[in-house]
Amino acid sequence: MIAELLDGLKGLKSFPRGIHPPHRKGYAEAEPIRLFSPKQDLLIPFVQHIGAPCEPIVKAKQDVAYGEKIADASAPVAAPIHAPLAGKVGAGTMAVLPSGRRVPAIPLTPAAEGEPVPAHFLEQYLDRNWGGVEPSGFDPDEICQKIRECGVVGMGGATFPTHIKLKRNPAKPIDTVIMNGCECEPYLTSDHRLMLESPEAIVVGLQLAARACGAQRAIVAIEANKPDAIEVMRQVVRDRPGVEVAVCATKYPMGGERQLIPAVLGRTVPSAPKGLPLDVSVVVVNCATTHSIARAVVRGQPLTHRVVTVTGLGVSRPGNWLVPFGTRFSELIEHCGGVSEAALKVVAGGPMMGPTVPNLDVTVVKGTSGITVMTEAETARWQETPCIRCGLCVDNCPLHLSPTKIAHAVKFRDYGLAGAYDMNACCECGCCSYVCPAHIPLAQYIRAGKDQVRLKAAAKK
Amino acid sequence: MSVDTAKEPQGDVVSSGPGGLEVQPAPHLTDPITTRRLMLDVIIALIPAFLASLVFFQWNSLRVLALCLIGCLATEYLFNRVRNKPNSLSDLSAVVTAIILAFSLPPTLPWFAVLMGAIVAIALGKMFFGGLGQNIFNPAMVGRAFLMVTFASLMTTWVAPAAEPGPPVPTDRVEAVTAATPLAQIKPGDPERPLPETWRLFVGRTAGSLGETSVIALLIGAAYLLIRRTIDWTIPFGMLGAALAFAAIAYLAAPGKFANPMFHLGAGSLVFGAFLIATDLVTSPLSKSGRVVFGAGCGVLTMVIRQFGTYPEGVMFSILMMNALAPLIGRWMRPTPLGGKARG
Amino acid sequence: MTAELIFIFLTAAIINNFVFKYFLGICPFLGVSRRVDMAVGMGFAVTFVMTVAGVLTWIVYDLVLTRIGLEFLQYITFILIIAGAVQLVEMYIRKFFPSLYESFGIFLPMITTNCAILGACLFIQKFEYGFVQTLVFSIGAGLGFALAITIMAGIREELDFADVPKPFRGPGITLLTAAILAMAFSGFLIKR
Repeated sequence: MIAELLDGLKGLKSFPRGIHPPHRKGYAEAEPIRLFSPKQDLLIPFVQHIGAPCEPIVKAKQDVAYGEKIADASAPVAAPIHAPLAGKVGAGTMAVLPSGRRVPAIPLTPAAEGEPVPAHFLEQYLDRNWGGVEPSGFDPDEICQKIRECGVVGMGGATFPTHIKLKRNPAKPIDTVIMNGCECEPYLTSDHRLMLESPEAIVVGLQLAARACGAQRAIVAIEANKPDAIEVMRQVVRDRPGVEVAVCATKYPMGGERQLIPAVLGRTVPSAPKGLPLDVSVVVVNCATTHSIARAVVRGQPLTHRVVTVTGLGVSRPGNWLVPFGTRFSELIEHCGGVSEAALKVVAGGPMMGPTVPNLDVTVVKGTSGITVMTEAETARWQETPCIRCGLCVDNCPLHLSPTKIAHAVKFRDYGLAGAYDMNACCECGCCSYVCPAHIPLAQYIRAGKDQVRLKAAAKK
Repeated sequence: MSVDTAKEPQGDVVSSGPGGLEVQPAPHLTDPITTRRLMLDVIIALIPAFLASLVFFQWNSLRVLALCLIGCLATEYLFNRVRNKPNSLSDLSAVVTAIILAFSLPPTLPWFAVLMGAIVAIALGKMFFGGLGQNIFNPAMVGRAFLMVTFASLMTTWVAPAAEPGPPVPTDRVEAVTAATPLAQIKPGDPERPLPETWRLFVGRTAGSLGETSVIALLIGAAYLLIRRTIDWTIPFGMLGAALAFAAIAYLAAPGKFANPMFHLGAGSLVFGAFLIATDLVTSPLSKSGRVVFGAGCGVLTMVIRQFGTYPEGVMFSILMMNALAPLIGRWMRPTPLGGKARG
Repeated sequence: MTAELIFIFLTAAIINNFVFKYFLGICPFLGVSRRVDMAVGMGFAVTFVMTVAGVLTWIVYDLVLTRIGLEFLQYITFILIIAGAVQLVEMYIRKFFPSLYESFGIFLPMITTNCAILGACLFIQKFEYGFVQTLVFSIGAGLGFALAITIMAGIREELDFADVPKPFRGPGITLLTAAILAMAFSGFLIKR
């Protein structure tokens, strides 16, 4: 409470509670984005989004050009997949996503001669010449159509197809779009670097998103621990009226939409699973997604690469790489110095919400914001001890739940009791597990409980 | 579901992938705080009160504390052995129980009573319920309540603190009316004697239980706990606020009949209970608002017993009563999720 | 007069709580305290029966039996009245709260043999209360029982997940908890 008062005095947007894990962004923060060109085959999964899996529209042994559409789905909630490199596709096979899920995929061998990607790809990706682009000149439906055509999905990790998120719904109008530049996960710096090196594209993309969904306000939200990005964004926004910069307090999970919206706008989003930001007339879009929206709508460039932060004490050369989808973790990590002896786990994403990968053959997909290779020093193993009802998890849950009660109920398989304690409202941010003195894996139990209930409901159908 | 069916918890959530990488669900960062550190903080916070008790009650203070430690630690150790559970003494919770129990006993309690109290505190108060984190009642208070019921007259024999001349003042009444503690002096029917000045109550040079007399020493410990964030302000605020408000109202209504609030703050174990006993993590409600209600209940009940009951001190009984109500408080004061209850 | 009634109420409900001071009514106290909603229902049922039975038995005893000199029929008439009151309650609950009726099972008709009810009726005679005092005493005693059983239900719901040693599970730990509660309630001694 006192902390929030102080934040308010400093002009920082904040929400009550929240935790302050060490942000450890110093490993990769200063590394500029560089292009990664894999030598090995890519393995491109057909499921890189929420929704129906894509079906291939190319055949085995077919040559494909860079950016050619190779898979699509006819279902409404889906986004097509494009060839990240020029080369030859192989026969359909299976791949394991970083989350552990097995999905259909297709291998792609990069072309031996010629350029796998267009010339000056990196310069063009980080281009800063967006003057003269007027987002209000675009038709909203045309924007959504181009977004879909270029395969843009939510790149903050959820991978929800963006054209559906931005589609106007007369019953639930949107008045504000927030660009989430907070990057509250420790270790990750990909959004930070993107804001520093290509801010104009991000702002144009944000304006296009606002135009598509009909929002009158567009807000760039950045955490206070990125003063250089705040400065750059403020300058860019000066030339583009209608967009504001909101500086947020540095805490986790500031970037979660159920915390960001109350912080920036003071509105409370109704609880999950039914409640969504659009119920309070807001859409939150990730930084990399807005960047891709600009490239897609204005320049017709499909989503084929993304910035991935490779970091952690388990790699010797951390960095921020522009990586084509389908790149194997093993090749990318090798390029950064390889997995060190002391490494204990490889996390796809950040340490608060990212899953550990079972092996290094998993590939980078649209939602992979980073690879954190953690050593024992960074992620010590703890023995779970009995709950002492200290209430720290209850006091720190940003959604005002009782994590220990839910986790306890899940442990004893009493899913009715877990539901009575609003298990389904949990956003799995991990604050509870972080603060627990008994080191009970609370968020893990809750997630397991939600999965169990989901499986049971699916089995019944 | 039959009464004897035990609910077994699910297994471990860690597994190892090929290539030696650990596969675990997120989050992978944790705060290094541990249960043991929380307990250690409480022990450190009790050091000033222990030093005060050494000054006032000398040998008795050491004797009772040592017996409590032996009784509590041995009982927990034996219980774990018999049940084939790992030794849990290292989490220091039995040490905390022993110290709190010792501080709440009269200095001249005979050795067999102290030992029995310590054993019952851990056995009945904690181990029968399943061990750390699963007991409903504060174990030290369970031990003390048992001693109160079993050895009523021994538990109400007090001594004057050291550096004051005179032998221990025995009780010669059937009811548990103590003869020399400040709280006993305000009970109707007691021989008229001038009440100690308020400052003396705060320093602690009065008769009373081992650790409860020196409010100043206890407040130093309490400040330490609050700074370290081991306890939060809710229960002390609720308990002291409600108790002092109750005392103030009674005092203003009938100044001749009831003592003033500052007296009640300094006398007896109100401060000890508010900061160190009622704040026991396991036996108080989970949510902040629940804890304020819990504290307020403790405060009101303490004052009701002090002002209208037969016993001079009500802290122990009120804490046990509120421990009993804590599950209901937790049930009826469930925090509402931000954004309303989850539907669908 | 009001102060005296308040004193009677508080004494019956808390200071001399029927469960924790006199150990009456242990049967439903152990049997129906598994869940809080059932406990609250049983508490109100017992309160209602106690009030009706207390008042009716007072009327019958003070106004009828003493007049015609048949005081020795006290026990039989009391039990008859209690049985009738329980029937009333049973019919009411069955009609309006059928699921509660199902979950009570045998414990609802067993209120007839609940020693707390008969105990309350006999206490009224022992203390020689008048009509209003009887009413207040019965309600107080019933609510005291309701408080005891609800507290126990809250605790038992918590204990469902506790690692209680095998020999103590179920009635064992319940009785031990009741013992601790009795010790706690013994703090409310009032000398008058």
